[in-house]
Amino acid sequence: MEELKALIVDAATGESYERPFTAQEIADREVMQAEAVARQAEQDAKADARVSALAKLSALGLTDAEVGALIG
Amino acid sequence: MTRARDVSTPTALVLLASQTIGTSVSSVTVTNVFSATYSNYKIFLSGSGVCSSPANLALKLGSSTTGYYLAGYRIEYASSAAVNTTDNGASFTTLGYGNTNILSLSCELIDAGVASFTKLVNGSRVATDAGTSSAGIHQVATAYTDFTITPSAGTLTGGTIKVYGYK
Repeated sequence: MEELKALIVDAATGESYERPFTAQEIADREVMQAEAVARQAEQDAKADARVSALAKLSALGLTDAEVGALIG
Repeated sequence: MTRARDVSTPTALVLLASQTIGTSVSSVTVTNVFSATYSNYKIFLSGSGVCSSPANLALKLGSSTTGYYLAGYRIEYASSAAVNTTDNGASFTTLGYGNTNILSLSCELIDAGVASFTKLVNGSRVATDAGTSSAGIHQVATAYTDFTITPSAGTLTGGTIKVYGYK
C-alpha cells in the first residue's frame, strides 16, 4: 500500500519536513475521496439532465437561439 | 525557503511563506503563518506542479473539521454550461483542482488569524474543463495559525505554495 506522507512547512522558521500520515489523516482522506466520487456523480447527473432537457425543448420546436435565451 | 519578512523594507503586502511542494506528498501544511499581525491573506498554488490523479484540492484551517461553507459558480469552457456549486463540510473541499497537467488553487482569507469567523473570497478553481469562482465562510470563531491543503485523490508533486499577508 502506498505510504501517504504530509509535508509540513513552518513559515516562522522556514524549516520543512515530511512525515507519514496519521490514522486520523488517512480516515479524513478516505471520507474526502468518497465525497469527491459522490460529488462527481451528482455533477454527471446534472449534466445528463441538462442534455435531456435541451433535447426535449428542441423537440418542442424551440430553436437553439430560443433555448439559449431561455436558459441564459 | 524564502521569507519576505526577512527583507528590511516593510510593506503592507508581505510574502510570509514560499515552499516548493516536493515529490508525491499527500498534503501540505503551512504552520505559524496566520497571526493577528495581518488582517488578510492571499494563498497561491502555482508553478509546474501536478496531481497524480484528477482531484479537488481542499483547504482546512488548523485542525478544524466543521463549519466550512463554500458557494461557487462553475462554467464549462466547451459548452458554457453553468452550475451553482455548494460545498459545506469538513473543509473547503472543492477550492482547488489538480490533475497530471496542472495544480491550481488561489484564494484570499479574511481574519484567519483572529478569533472570528474566517471569510474566504476570490476563490478560483481552474480545471481543464471548467473554471469556478467561489466565496465562503468558516463559521468557527477561532484564531488559526496553520492551514492544510489536501487532494481528494492522488499525490502532489512540484509547484510552489505562496502565502502573502495584507496589513
